[in-house]
Amino acid sequence: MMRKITSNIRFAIRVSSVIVLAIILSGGAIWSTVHAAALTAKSDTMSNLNDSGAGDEKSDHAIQFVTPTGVASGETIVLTLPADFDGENDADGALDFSDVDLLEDTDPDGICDGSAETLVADSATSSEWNAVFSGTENRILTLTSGGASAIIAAGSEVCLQIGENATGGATNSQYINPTTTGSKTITLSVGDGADTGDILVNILDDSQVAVTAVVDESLTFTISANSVEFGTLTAADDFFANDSGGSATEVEAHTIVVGTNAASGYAMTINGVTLTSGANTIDAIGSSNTASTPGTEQFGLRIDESGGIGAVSAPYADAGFALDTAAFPDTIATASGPSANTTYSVRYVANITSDTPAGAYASTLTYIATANF
Amino acid sequence: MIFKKVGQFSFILVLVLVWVFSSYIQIFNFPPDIKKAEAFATITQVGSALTGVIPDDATADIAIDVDLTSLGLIAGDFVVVLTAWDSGSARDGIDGNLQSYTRFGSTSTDPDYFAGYKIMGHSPDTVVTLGQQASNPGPYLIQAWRGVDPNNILDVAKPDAATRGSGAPDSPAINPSTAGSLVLSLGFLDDDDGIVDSYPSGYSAGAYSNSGQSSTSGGTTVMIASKTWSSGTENPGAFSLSTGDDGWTAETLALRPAPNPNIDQVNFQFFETSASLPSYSSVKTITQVGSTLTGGISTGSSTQTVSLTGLGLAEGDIVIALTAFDELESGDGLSGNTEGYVIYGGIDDGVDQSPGYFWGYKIMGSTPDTAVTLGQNGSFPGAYLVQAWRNVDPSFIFDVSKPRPELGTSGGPDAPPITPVTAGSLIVAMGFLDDDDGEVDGYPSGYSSGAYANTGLGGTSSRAMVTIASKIWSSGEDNPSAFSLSTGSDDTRAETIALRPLFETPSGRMAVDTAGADVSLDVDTDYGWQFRLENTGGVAGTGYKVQYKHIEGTNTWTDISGSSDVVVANLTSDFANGADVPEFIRGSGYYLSNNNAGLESTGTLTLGTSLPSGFSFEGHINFQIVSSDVDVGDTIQLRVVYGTGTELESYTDTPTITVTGPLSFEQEAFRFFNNADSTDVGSPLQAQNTNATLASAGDAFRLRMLMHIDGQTLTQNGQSFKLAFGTSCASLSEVTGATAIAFSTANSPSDGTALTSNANDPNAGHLVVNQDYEEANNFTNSEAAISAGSDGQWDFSLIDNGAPAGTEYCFRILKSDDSPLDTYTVDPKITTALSEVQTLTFSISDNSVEFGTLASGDDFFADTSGGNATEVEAHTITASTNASDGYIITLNGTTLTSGEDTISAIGSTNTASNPGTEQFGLRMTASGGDGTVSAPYADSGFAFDINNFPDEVASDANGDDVATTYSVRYLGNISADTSAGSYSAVLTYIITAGF
Repeated sequence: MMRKITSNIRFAIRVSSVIVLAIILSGGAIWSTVHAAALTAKSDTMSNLNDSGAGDEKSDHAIQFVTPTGVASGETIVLTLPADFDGENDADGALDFSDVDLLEDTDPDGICDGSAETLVADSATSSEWNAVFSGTENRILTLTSGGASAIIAAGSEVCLQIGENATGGATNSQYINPTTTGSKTITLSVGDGADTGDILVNILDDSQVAVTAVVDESLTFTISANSVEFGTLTAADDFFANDSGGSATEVEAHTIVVGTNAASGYAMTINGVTLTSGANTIDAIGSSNTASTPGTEQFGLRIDESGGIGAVSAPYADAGFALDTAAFPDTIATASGPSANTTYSVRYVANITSDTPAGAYASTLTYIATANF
Repeated sequence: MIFKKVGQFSFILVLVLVWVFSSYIQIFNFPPDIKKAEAFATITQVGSALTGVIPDDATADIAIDVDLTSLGLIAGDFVVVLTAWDSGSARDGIDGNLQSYTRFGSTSTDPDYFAGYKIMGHSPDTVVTLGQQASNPGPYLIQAWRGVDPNNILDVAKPDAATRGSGAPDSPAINPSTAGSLVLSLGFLDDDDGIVDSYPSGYSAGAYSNSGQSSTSGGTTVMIASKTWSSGTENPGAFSLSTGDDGWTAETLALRPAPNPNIDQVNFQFFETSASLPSYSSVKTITQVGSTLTGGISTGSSTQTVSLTGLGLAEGDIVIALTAFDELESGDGLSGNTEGYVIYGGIDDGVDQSPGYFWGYKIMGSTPDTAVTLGQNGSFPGAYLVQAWRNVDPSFIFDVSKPRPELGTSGGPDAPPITPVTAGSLIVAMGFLDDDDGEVDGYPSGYSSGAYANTGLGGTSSRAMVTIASKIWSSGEDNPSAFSLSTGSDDTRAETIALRPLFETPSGRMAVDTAGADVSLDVDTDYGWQFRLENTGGVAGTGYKVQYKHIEGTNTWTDISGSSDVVVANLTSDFANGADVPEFIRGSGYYLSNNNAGLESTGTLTLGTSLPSGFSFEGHINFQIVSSDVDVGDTIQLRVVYGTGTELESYTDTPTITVTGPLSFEQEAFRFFNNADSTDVGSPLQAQNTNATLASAGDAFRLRMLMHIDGQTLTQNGQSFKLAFGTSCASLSEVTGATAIAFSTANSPSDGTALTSNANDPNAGHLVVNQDYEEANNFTNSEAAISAGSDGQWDFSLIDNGAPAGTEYCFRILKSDDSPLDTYTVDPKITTALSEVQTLTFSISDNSVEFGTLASGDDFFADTSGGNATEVEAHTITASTNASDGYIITLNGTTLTSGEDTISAIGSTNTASNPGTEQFGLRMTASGGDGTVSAPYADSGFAFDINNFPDEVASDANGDDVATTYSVRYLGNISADTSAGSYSAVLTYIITAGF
């Protein structure tokens, strides 16, 4: 036991000698070691995870991390993308400093924001950074502090935006995604290697979902009643048709409902003749919207609309009546685009003169709705 | 003339008889027995005899100083001086000497002669002062001898002087007791300036000196010759004179040879380090304790008790008591003391009691005396004086030996000079006055604390007075001036002493040899050993050396040298070899030179001069115990021997060293454990002394380590440590709460709480002394001391604090000053979770789904087969990661679009399906893992917050690497007027992991 102790003492002496030698060789800094600290809160938010197997799939990168040590004057931030990322062959041009934003946020919040550092291609001043892409297909981005005013404070959150997410937007070049799928490791070395870390991204064949739907063409057209009547007309009064013997006051004779998803809407026309009894007719009121005038032969109609975007066409839209038989088939209502159902309320007026021949007058009016798809 | 001489002789005879048969203290130290079979040194002459004449001076007393330096005297040498006068008087010749010679002679003989001798002190005299009061010159003769026993100068009592009226001096017979004694025949011839033409038969070293007047009147001659005696009665023959024939006196002395050197190793001390050799840099000031007690010793009772209670005495105080009487009787004054006072001065050489006095001292013990008892045995009243002092070195007491008392015949007592060696010594001048009840009106110049006492009875007969005064000495000889008396003038005696002050305890002193203190010393460490050797024998040489004995080794005494094994002489750079060392071992007696023998690095000590009998010296050697030659627990002794290797005559104190160390620290064993919210640990991560890998990033874990203590006990809280880590064991930094591998403070126990032992704790086969649960640096053995050979165990609560994945970290305990432990037998290493090979999976089950034909009258749900009228899963998304911050999935794209037509996105609010209303949205459900669907997509309705695109639709916060499957359902509703067409939307799902 005692001999063992002696040996230990000798060993300790030898060890001490080695340590002393180590101290000498290391300039006496053996206990002031710097070890690589780990970057934290590292992420790379890409705008596109699709591989480039079927074409150039490009993506923006928003690379964030928190550096415990920071970046001192003259030190670097080195970003290395793995094989297959391509920063050289974007059709918009190879990546350069102008495609990169370097943001520093001294109050880390997980958001890619902060003070934007000034990046230049080279010859950075003390407040600028050289941003240089290098290596195969520009997979290495080295940001070098130009001086004391271009530093990253310890504990800051850094965000590197590369691509169209950087200042310059869509004119910027982007990294082309790898042609292969799977996890890709992006490495970071910050502050001349004082802080390091990796970020994993995952490249897919397709990170998109295509959703499709079909909306068929549609046209709704209904007429509420196909037979209305004025009853017996007299010259002294005006009469309004309905489906129950006519009315001395204006009433809705029937409705027409029209709706369509046609892009250009629809048009509804009227065709037919004025009230006729054999060879006798009651004059159509004409092409102008005209107020009812008892004692005058008048046969016309007017229409109100509700719902949809359908609108009654002139001269049927006003308070008077019209029946422009000369223009038949005459447009009485239209919708300029897809329209939910529009209900048209149709009112007919009939006036006769005292000499209007007696007879049973009738008129068949044909409504046509035409959708414009 | 003859009647006068007969009367003088008779008077002296009576005095001698009275003395011999009295109980008075013997002033000569007669040997108690004939010395037997002892080895004695040879007495040899030192230099040549010095002869000359003390010239007359008719007008005034003179004194001459005879230079002794030519003799080459050293301490312990014996010097004899012969002087004679045709008609001399007191203070003539050696009688007027100032160097405290022991004198004999007479003015009642032919011639009047004065002779004296002296043993040289540690600073040998350089002169001898010879007085001259006579009206005619006197010769002197000085011889010096080496090897005389300073403690027993005269082998036997000096026989009475022989004297005749004519012829040549013929010394009386003598009967020495010690073989080798040197018989000195001394002759003193009256009137004639004699010339010796031969010396007593068998005698040598003869010399003579006359007054040089070439006259037979008024001149005198002194002569000397010597012979080494071996046995029988020695009766020197007469000197033979070619010129001169008159009255003469002759004396015979037998000088006892000193024994051979008798050196004793008597005292020692060790020092922690020789790098800063401690010394007495200051002394304590000697201060008076209380007031001086004075009074008379009346004849009314047999004792006089002097109370000391008023002084306030404490242990170590010295009390000095002076008593004086006109005539002493047995038991008077201090001689009658019963408290054990050491009588250190008193009635002198028997010439007279003028006055009779004693003084003495006592060092107070732990219970100081309350009184001092003084005797009274006769009809003479006495006087006493008691003074007490503090901070006198109780071991040494007297800084130097006291000089011979000074005698006076009138005026105030005049104490003799003294030359202390220690600054701060207290010089005490004491005076004793005969007959008169003197009164002091002036103390020696520069002296204080003066006091005096007389019998209090008044008068100038049968009275006495004592007085005292003192001063702190700094340097040089101090010759107190005489006490000044306003009353009284008679015979006086005066003494001077120097009390040595207590030294401040020097730093670094480990053990002084009190109560046999031995020491435990570390190996490979500088120490100093100072020793004191006392020579009570004859003159010793100058060469000495130091030896060690390794009991467990060769067990033989071996010389220490600069290259010796076991104990090696090791001079540190602070000292020059041979330089004087400060005095710091306390002892009594005479010291050689300045009490030191020099620092030595070689193990060999060479004194500047021989070591006389009665002298001591101190030596100091710096040394180390060589670790490679000893084991802890071994014992080593040290001693000094003569330079020849011969042992000293005795070893009162031989120190024994126990090898103890040094205290060493070994990182000896470890084990990694899972964390537990406790001072106990979780399950082991690995076997003992086996490195481990963490299962997951950010894992907390525990490290229990054993530190082996050896060499000596690590006292509780005896060393502060810190835990350090690094990717290399040679490149470490302190663990903090923020380092990559950090202390974890998430557990309930507080840092420094005693750990709870666990059955799986590491064990290295030694006694384990559990210490603390640690979650911060620094730490120490706060729970208990750890004896040598045992292990201390600490429990470190640690966590992977964002360390890079798959990285190995080494742990070492350092001392708090960042210095490493002595040995790292093991280096615990933890590897952060290998799963930090990052993972991220993301898949979409179908990249194309369809609603089919929508109708405003019903709601539709997308699927991969033409759509469905009821809610159905369109596709799934599966995601997982081990990223510490998990992941988020975002959605980007547009609503269903057909050319310029769109089906309105349902919006940012989770909304129920409403057929007939344009709605395009989705909802998701999650299964597996702990991923969750984000609002507003998580509820039963649908949402499509296109304004917030890319919008988060799902996330997983913890990165547990367990897949979550999200079921995605799409809703499509149209209104009646929804434009016909083929609608489509491309939705992009992006996963972003947060590592």
